[in-house]
Amino acid sequence: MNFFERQNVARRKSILLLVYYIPAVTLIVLVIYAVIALIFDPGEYRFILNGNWWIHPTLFVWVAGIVLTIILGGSIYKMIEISGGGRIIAIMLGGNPVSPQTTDPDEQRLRDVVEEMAIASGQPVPEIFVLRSEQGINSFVAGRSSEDTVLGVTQGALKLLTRDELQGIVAHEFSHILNGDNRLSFWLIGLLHGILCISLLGKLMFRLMDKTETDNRAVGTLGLVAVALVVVGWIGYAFGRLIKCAVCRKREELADAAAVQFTRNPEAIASALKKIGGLSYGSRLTGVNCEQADFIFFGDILQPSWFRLFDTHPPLDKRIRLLDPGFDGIYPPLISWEAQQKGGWYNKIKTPSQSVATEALSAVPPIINNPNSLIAAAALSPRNLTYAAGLRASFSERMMGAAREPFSATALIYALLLSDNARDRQIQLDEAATLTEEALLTQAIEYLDETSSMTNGQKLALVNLSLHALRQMSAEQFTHFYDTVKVLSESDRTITLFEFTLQKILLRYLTHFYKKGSKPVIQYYSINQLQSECSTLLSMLAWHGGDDELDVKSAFQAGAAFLEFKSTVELLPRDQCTLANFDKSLDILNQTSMLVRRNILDACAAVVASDNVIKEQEAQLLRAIAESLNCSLPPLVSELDSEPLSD
Amino acid sequence: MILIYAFGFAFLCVGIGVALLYNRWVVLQNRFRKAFAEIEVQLKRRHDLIPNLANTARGYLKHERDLLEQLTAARTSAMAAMESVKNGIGLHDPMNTLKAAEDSLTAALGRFWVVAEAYPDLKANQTMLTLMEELTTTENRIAFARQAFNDAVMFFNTSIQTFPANVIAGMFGFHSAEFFEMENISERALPRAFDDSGTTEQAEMK
Repeated sequence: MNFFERQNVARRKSILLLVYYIPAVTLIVLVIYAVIALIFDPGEYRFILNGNWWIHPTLFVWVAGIVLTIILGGSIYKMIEISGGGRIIAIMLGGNPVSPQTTDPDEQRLRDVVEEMAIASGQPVPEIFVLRSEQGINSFVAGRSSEDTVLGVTQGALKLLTRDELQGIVAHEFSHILNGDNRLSFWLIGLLHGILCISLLGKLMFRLMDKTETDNRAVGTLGLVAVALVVVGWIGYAFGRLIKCAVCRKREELADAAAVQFTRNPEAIASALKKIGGLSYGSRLTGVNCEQADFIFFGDILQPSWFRLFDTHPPLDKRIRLLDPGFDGIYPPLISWEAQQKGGWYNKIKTPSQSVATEALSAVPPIINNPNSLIAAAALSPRNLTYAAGLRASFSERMMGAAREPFSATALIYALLLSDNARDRQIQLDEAATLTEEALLTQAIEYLDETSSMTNGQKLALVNLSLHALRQMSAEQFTHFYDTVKVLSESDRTITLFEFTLQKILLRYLTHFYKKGSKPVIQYYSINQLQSECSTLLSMLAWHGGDDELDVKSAFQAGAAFLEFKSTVELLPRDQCTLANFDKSLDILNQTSMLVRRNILDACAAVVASDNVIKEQEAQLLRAIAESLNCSLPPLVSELDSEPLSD
Repeated sequence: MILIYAFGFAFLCVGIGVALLYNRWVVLQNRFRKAFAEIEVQLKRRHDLIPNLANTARGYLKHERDLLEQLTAARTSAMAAMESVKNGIGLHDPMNTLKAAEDSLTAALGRFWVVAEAYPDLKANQTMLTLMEELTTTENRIAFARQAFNDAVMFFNTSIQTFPANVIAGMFGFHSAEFFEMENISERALPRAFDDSGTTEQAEMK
């Protein structure tokens, strides 16, 4: 299953969510109505005796109105609360941010693993959080979009896992990001909170009644309503759990499989899962707010429920067996880090549990990766990770440090844009001097000795690493920064491909971050009106892929075959493929629905992969397309060398 | 009966409105607290550089023991002030203590450079040059982080001081946060002569 298919699975699950949610809400409304109709029936149960107690239109409208207001209000309230992004969720769960300049060796290791993975997946580095009071092994990602994602791990995971295991669970979390699961989680947290509000209301009424002592009849009636609300609340809770496990169980398996595809190291995740099994804390969490978000975690945060009916994650041994078919069901015992710190406190060691699961599990390897598929070009592969680790290692400590702090990251981006030619550079500096502080430009010049010799692949990776620090600017600083970037790229009257891609990345990850509400409105739901735009895109890619006219044509046709057009699209002549035209087409294509965008991206990947060689320019163009269309696409490993894709 | 429902509905609306405002403030407050973390990182780097500076200079400035002691003392009090701010980012008193401490550290550094001017050997010392370079970039970073923090504080303050927010902000314990102003470090701390060596280097680069 490749990257796009998994995104489609996430999309289908969102529909499933609504399929469960609407009956749940309807049922809650009906039950509350029935209870209230019984309690407040003015005619001394005459309705029941007559057999038509449920017909009471005015009451029904009122009850439905109020209950729906409460549920929707609760949902909207929660969604607004967490719309501040992943950071708010992480803090809600009890996370502490890890400073990028951390000096703690364990935190540094985590940061390095996350940075490598970010380069490999072409995502900005997420903000890292550690849940310091949690001894279990667990991790999560949260955020509404890839622009505000955070990644958190527990103290237990930080201290007890090896680097490989940590890489495994970080890869698992990144595949959630790439699969688009976060958006679904966001909705899930919001919608479920609405349902839970009913039982909260019941509890609130109980508390109010304790304090007021008015006449007994009123209290008695109110008490009945409160009991009813709490009971109905429990129904809502049960529904909530059912929805959670329906949506989430499968996706954890998918993320495990994707993580393996990513690291090509099934043992790493398997052994992290085994450590969870061997630890007395397991993957359990103690934070009060954790339960409402239990489905965003790597492992179950609660004790397994009866018959695993309400578990949000597949059973541990099943997950392990999917990765390591030879697993015997015995978890090597592991002493918690806390106990290790106290020293000699070995009483807590769990005896190895011999519960070998009886389920017969087919030893199917989780990866079904067809190298002939064109889209496999875009699948995350261990080559991405090796490539990313190589890129990261190629940066000096000074460059890495610079990418982690706002001031120096800003200067670094300027340095990447400065020309190699001394005269052009002077023009750039003069023009930028009116817009930005001198100190930044001075710093940028100092970085030149390292940045001027970088390949575009390295430059883009540095941009990726800097995005997190760049987001710490204030809105005003960002305005200056963005203007300066524009001036620096345009002062020589030409825009290079790198400058173009950089602007697209900044636009996607920072402009939307600082200027809320600047997202395009969807205007096209079908690809049919967009022929000229699509042909511009594909022609551009085709012309960058080869010089021989025949190659260009065949590459173009390979991509065009993917587009769901009724008529055919024509290859544009070379002189019409300018960045300006390209940019215009992208702006229009960005107003299409997600499905159309996927289709276009598929076609683009097909053009690039048609000759089994990915040139650096092609990879960059593809990246620019993906960023402009707001799609996540791991970078194609091309900059390494021009090795054929199929292996 | 209708009146009760209407009342209840209005109550619900107001409740949701207040909750929205409250959340907004929490977000804004977190934002400037986060911005302060960056200042903290850079101030810490500044404080860490001072002992190296003092140690390097000690050999040359045998007759200026007072000067070095003042510098070290200013650093110690600045570090203590930073520690006390950690639990009260944006509160009036700790922020002002930190300002005062950092300003006196800047002043001590300024005096140090003036004196160091008279010792050509010290000026030419390679470690000294590196440290100076480090201090300058650190101070630039502080200025940048300070700007981000002050912008965030202004945003927060505006949002709790405007009507109708100002009526309820106080009830929830939100109060205007303090800006973090410092005397312009790079202008005061580095004398011209030292600065010149830096610009010639840049000119060559250009």
